[in-house]
Order: sequence, then C-alpha cells, then structure tokens
Amino acid sequence: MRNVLAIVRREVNAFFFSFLGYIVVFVFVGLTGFFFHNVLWRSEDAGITAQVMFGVVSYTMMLIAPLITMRLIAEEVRTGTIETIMTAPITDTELVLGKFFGALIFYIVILLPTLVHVGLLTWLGKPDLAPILSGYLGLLLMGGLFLSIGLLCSSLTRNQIVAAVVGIVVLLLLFVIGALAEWRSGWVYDLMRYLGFMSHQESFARGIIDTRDLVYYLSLTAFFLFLSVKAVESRKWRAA
Amino acid sequence: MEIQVEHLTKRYGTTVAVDDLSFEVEKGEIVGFLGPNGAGKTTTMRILTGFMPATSGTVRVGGYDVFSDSLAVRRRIGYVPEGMPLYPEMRVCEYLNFRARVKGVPRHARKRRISEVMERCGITDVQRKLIGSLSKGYRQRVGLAEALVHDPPILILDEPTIGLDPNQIRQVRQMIKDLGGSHTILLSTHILPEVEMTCGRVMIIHQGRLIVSDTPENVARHHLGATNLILEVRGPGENVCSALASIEGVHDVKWNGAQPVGRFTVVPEKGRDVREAIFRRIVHNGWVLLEMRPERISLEEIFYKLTTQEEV
Repeated sequence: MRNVLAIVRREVNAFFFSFLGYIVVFVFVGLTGFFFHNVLWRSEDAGITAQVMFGVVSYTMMLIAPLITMRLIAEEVRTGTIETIMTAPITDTELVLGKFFGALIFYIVILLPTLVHVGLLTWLGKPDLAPILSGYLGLLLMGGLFLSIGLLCSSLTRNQIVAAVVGIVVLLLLFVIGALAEWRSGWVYDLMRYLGFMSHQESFARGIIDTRDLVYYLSLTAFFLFLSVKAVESRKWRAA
Repeated sequence: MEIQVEHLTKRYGTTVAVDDLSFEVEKGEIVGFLGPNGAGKTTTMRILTGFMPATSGTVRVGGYDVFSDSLAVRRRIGYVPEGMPLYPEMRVCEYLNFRARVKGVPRHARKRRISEVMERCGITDVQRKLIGSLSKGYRQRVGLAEALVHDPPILILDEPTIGLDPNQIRQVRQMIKDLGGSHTILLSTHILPEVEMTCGRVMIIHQGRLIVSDTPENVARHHLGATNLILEVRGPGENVCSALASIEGVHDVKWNGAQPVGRFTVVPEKGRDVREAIFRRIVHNGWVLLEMRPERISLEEIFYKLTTQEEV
C-alpha cells in the first residue's frame, strides 16, 4: 500500500511537470467547453444538456485517456528506469496499481473544470442534481476503464506513440461495437450493445445506477489491470 | 556468503550470454567483474538483482534465492544499473525521497538517511536541481546515493565510473573503497586500473564464462609469467647486452639502441630473481647502473592474453 502511494505521488507530479500534461488539460477543457457552449445555446432543457455534456466528455476521453496513459510504462522502458523500479522491493501489481491510480487522479483533476458547466446549468436552468451525480460516477468508472486499457497498451511497447494510437483504436472499437447495434434487436446486438461503453455511459447520465453497468466497468477495468500486470511480468521473460 | 552463483546460464534465443558461471562473494569483499563488452557482465548483474530470470542455475544473494525470494533480495541490494537511468523531471531530493519510500525506509528515518547519502556522495548542493539539468558526474553520484539510500549490505554497481572525467573517477573510486568492508560490493567495469585500485578480487569473464578469479596481484603473478626488469645503464650497448644475456637465469635481453645511456629490458626465467647478479655484473665491468625497476605489469596485458587466447 505504501509502495502504491509512493508511485501514485510520483506519477501525479510527473503529469503536472510534463508539457504533455498541460496539452492534455488544454485540449480536454477546450473541446468539452466548445461542445458544451454549442449545445447550451440550442438547448431548452438543463437536464438533457447535462446528459449531452457527459456524452461529450466520453467522446473526448476516447482521445485523451490514451494520451494520459501512453508514457506510464513505455517511457520507463525506453529510458531504462524500469530497471530501477523492478529491482526495488515492490511487486509488479503495486507498480501497475500505482500507475493506474496516478493516472486516475490526474483524470479527476482535469474533470474538475467541467463543474463550471454544471454551475452554469444550475444558474440558467433547474437541472435535477441526482442524474448529474450519477453522471459523474459514470464518468469516473468510464475513466477507470479507459485508463486501464491505455495502461495495458503502454506496458506492451516502448514507443509512446504506438501506445497512444493502439489505445485510441481499442477505445474506438469499444464505441463502434455498441454504435453498430443501435436501434437493432436480437441477442447478438444486445451483446454488442452491452460490450460497447456508450449504453452504460448513457444510463449513468440519465440517473440510473444499474449493477449491470457497475459490473461492466469494474470487471473490465480489473481485467485490463490484470493483463497489464501480466504484461509487466512478461518483460522479464522476453529478451531485453 | 553474501553472493552465491551456481551453474548460472542465460540464453537469449540461441545466443548464450552467460555459460555455466559459478562464483561466490564473501561478506565485506569488493569484487571487480571484468570483461570485454558483451562478455555477460550486465546480464549476470541483472540476474543477481532479480531484473531477469536465469535460464538455469541458482543464484543466492544475502542468503535468499533471487527467483523465489526476489523481494527479500531486492530489499538487501543497492543497484546502479548500466547507464544510470533516472527521471529527468524530478529534483534530486524528490527522487531520493521517492526511492526511499519505494525501498521501505521508514518515515522517521527518511529525512536523515537522505541527507546522509547526499552528504556522502557530495550532492547536497544540487539537491534542489532537476536531475535532467545535472552533469554526468553528478547524475552518477545521484545514482549511487539512490543505491545507498536504504542502507543495503550488498551493492551491485554496473560500470559506475563510465563516462566520468578523471577527477570524478577518482572520487567515485574513493567512495567505493570507503564503502568496502562494511558492504559487500560487486562492480563491473572494462577499465582495468579501476579493478587494480579498488578491488580485493578480480573475476575475469569472457564469453559468459569465468576464466580467472583471484587477487589482482596473484592474477598478475600467475598469468603473466616472470616480471621483466627495466634497466638504464651507461656503457657500450652491445657489450652490456651480451654481458646481461650471459647471466644465469636471464632468458632474454632487449636494448633500445641508445648510446651512451641505453635502456634494456631483461626477461628473466620464470621464478628467478636476477637483480643482484645484474648489479654485480654491471659494476664489475665498470659501467654505471642508473635505474633498475620491475616493469609495471598491467592487468591490461593479462586481460588481452586471456581473452584472445580463448579464441585461438
């Protein structure tokens, strides 16, 4: 636990030290702000606007999450610092968890500016606060899933660009598989809808906290973290 | 026995990096691990630190098996990897603090430990600087401070003086010497004087195999035959040459051709001390002996001999 915290602290600091960290904040705040502004002028219902806002954050995150995670392990491998980490008395699981929660904290920090949008909505209209809370819970869970996928990509290569591109492609697939099944019926489409993240995202945004959605996010996140641990472990067995 | 390696073999695909290597390092010893690039030094050290698994063989460090008790081993070693990888975006003190946490230095002791190792490695004055902005010499010392921060009984240093200038090399060597005795140190290098100056024992490794393990002096004695003598004599060169060659126990004499003061290299037969006979012969002939000294035997020659012999 102490080891995990030490890694978390270093990662969070590294995000805020890096130029990339600020680019990520800038792009995220810029994109979400721009779309929110567009929606806000046409919208007549504060609740629906909030739902759209959560959707916008989801789309943006497909691009942003792999940018957050791409350097986590790939960079340590490229610069060789992985050798100092893996010869320190910490387990591979502690390393992966530290990296993951470090990224998650950074994600939570860049979500904070969207509270301004919520503030504007409550000022201009009277949105129901419960769906907004569940919407944020959904964003948190979704962020965890996206970051765990990005982390896995980062642990498989020493090239950060490759890690980011593969991460974005996987997240797009996760979106497309659900989008293809939209408005169709049959168990295959039901399954595809379940695998895609948007259906789960939408139910949180509508104020529904369903165990199916919780199970979807938490189990997939745990699965990708598990694969990341295995990927880090497997480094030892591959020729350097 | 702090480090115990038995029949260690490491293969990368079909290449054999380490081939049935066995050695031991006693507590408090400073052992130099010597070999040309690609001899298997780094691979062996990576296996010792648990960064890589061995293909076969057993390795025990501090009494623990590096494979099954990896964490226990890692707690007891300070490791400076090849090339000194560090995080350029961290400040020196931040980095040491992070590493101290990861290595389990308790909170109350952390501050004291960190200032101790910074003092010891001479980096106290750069503690607020970003590691990326430091010179190579300072980075090297930060790496060494990091290895020492949890006060490990065993130090494994992979080429700790590479890329340093002569003054920095001298400082690092002095530090290593100071750490000996209280610490068990295994260091690798391909610079021979380094081993002669700092280590109590040399292990020469070539193509993944241990070919010599002895004190630097013994290595010189056993592997280079007799010690040559360098003479400087005032006298007629040809006559001196033949006079020296006729001494019993002298195998060969070389003369550099200079007059009237010539320089001669006398190669004695193995195990013979011919210094007194040389002195008497020269005085007897009325010449003047200006200098007589043993030729400085360097590990370099032994190294060359041993590592090239193999291939022939």
